[in-house]
Amino acid sequence: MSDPLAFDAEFLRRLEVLNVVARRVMQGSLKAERRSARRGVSAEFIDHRPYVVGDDLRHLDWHLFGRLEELFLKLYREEENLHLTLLVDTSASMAHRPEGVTGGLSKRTYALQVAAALAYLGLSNMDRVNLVPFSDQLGEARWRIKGRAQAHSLFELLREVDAQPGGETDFRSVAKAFVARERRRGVVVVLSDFYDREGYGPALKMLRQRKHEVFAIQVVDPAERDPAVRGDLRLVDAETGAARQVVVTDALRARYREAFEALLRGVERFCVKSEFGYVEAGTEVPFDALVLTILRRGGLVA
Amino acid sequence: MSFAAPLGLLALGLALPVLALYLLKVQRRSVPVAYLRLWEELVQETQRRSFFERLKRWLSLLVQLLILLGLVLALADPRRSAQPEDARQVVLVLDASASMQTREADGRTRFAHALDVIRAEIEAKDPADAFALVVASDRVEVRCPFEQGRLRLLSALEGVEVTGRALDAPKAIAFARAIARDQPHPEVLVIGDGSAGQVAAEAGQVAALTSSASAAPSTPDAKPAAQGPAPLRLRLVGEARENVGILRFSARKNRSLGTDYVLARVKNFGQEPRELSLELSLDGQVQKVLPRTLPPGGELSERLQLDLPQGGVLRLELSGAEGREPFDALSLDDVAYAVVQPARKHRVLVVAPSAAALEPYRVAFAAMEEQIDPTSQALSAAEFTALPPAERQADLIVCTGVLPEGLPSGAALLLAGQPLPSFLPATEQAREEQPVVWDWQREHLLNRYLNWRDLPLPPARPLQLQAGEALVQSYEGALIAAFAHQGRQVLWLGFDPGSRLFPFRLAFPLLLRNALAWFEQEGRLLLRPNYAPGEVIEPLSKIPADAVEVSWFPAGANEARSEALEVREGRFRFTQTEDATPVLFRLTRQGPDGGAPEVQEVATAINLFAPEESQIAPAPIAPEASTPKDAPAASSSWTRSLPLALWPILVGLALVLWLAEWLSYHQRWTE
Repeated sequence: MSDPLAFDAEFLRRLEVLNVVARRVMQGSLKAERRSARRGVSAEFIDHRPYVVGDDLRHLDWHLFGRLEELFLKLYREEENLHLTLLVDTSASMAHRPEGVTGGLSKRTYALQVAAALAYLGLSNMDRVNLVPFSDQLGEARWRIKGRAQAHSLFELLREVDAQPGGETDFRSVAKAFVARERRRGVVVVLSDFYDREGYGPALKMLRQRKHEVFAIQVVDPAERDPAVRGDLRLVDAETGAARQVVVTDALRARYREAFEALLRGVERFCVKSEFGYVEAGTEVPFDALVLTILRRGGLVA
Repeated sequence: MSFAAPLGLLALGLALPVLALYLLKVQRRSVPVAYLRLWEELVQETQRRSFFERLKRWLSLLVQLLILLGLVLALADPRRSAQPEDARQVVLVLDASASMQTREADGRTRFAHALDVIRAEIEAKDPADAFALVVASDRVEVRCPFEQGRLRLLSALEGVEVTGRALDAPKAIAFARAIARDQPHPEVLVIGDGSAGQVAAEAGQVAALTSSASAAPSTPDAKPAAQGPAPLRLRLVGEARENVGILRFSARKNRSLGTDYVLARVKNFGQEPRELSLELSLDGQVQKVLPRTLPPGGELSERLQLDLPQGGVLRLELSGAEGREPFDALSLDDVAYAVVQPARKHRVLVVAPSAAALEPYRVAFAAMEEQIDPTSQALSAAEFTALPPAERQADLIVCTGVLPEGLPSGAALLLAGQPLPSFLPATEQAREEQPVVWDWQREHLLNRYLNWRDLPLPPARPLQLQAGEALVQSYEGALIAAFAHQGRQVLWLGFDPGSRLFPFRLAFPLLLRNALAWFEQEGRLLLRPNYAPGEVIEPLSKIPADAVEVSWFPAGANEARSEALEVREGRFRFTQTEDATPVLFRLTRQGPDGGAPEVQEVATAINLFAPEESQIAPAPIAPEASTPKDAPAASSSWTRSLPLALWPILVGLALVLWLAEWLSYHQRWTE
């Protein structure tokens, strides 16, 4: 079986196709000239404001001064390049494959594929891309790379990350470290299973407070929805190694399925409530299909 | 409780692997999960039931050990043993009489069915119960004393065969009760057909047990045997069957008239009229075939007069009108034998004082040619004494008016009209000129066809007897008397029959014939004409023979079987008398002075003439006194309701426990 993160010709071909399709879908909105929410200097006028001392006199609206004999300053939409940050959870829970499951991808591999695709699209649109793996802290990352020529560097990093053992997930520490490192506002895409004992909410809110546009992609292994375990078992946490003796009965499995769905819906509700983009990504869905879904829903340009 | 295979208990060692497997099972398999917290939140709900969960697990172990224990005990084949105080001592009385040869509708004999019943009783008995096996017919044989082991009891049944004898049920039951007398919980179980029940019922001995309460000697209030006879149960075998049987068959030679008579009596014991043929054959040659019809319960007597001077073996066989086989359910009583003795002329010597006195006797001899041997003579005393000893031998020596010297020992004597010899135990009375007959033994062979009251007797000297038998008596004493003296038969006539011609001519030949017949019967009859099956044949008196060879037809054999019998002190014993057959004894005696051996043939027959055996329909026994055929041995103790072999129960319990464990396991996974 070929390495799912080989980034070979086939993968690159799919990325190119995805790039073309994405352009049609977004109708150019993902280009570098994409509009910013911040007002700045550009050809597109958006408003006036009263002149104050120190303002650039070049932006005074003389026509309005002629009619109203008051000084107003013209305001224009500022145009800027997108700063796309891909925070990829590489913890042990993301690398975990449920017992007895063969075939398919781990959540981490799948998340890295999606991250590669989004990064490639960003680089193709001349955005600046940060690719930041993390678990309990930020891992080796690529910061502010630009241009498609940097894609191979990204892929190299992703392969290395996929080969490394994962640690525990600590969103709070990671968010702290990230906002301290990256002060420029941008779109932060979090690819994770959101399995954090300490909770993911504060960390995501911390990103929001720093004006980042947060987009959560919750990677879900379908085998985790209904684990094929039964009997008197000693369940061991894939990240912490903590163990618990559990008699897994049919009834308990039913309750587990309900709890798992509740966990997913909890993340979704939190994201919606916090005006974060959210998408649930099952690993059984091809990464390019997922990316297109994301683009169609426009979550990344919210 | 005992174990038939105690080595099976070694399998209890499997408990260790079970424990090990259980502990290994308790040490649960580790399964990594992506997010344990999710499970923990769920498990917290079941934490409250942890005690019960642990309890369930230990209960599971306990149940598994119990399952193992049950299977191991089953492997050891435990056997329930009754308490010694509950043990019974049962005397099994097996009816082996002739009626048990009756073939049932399935082709098997009643005896075979009875053996099955006994085997079932033995198999079903409690281990502590002791059975004794008694085989009964006209005699009782203990095949096995009180024994608890089934194998020994079953082996005692080997070789037990049905006989052709009649059953003496009271004797068998009394015997069974006698050997059970000292037992604490005795019981007599008779296994037989209707004849046994009929006899027992008639004897008032059937106390067949109708309920378990009354049947079980193990009940607390059961009376000890010492306080009364052992309870009697009866297990009937056999169904109502058709049978016609010969009840009597005999041949008798009328020596007075020189003819033979055959008597046959046949009865239909069935419930349907039967058309049958009586086939009478002599030495294999059919003499007569008599078709007859017998209504249910009907009986016929046939009396045939035949002329069989050569004698032989008569055979009477019943057969169906169409010769269908088998004729009826019991073939044993369909054939009977009778022996016809050959007619023999007797050598008679008449001794008188003078030749003139002999003349009337010569006239009488002339009228008895068919019975008197030509060598018979009328002699004077001197002539008689002058005869060589061999010629003095005769079947009968008539001495009239004289008692000559040299009488051969053992020869029968007819003494007439002479003084009383000193060797006769009697006293001579006064002479009667006109004796009047007061009484005579009308049934005696010597008096056959003679009416002494009408005969004018000559003067006579009656006797007062000290011994002997008075055959004709006057008021003064015996005119004719019979004596047995030192092995010699003596007939005393107190008068001279030749002195009166008219009565002499009329009566003397008859008297002589009767005397010859009586002498032969008394002196020469060695065997009875018929013996019952199983009866030992012995000569009625000492035989003058050195060797005896017997020939007979065993059951089912087409050829006669011969065997030499040991002769001891003039007697022999023949015991192989189980089957109906003619029996011929060949007596051989060394001739005098080393001459040719003298051979004498004597025949008799063995026949079953037993109405109670031919009556093969089940005997009517009062319902309250009968025991159902398929009723098991009575018992009231609950432990006796358990089977003897407990392994099926243990396996069943193990299966139930396994089912409960499985349901518990399933419930744990699905709750």
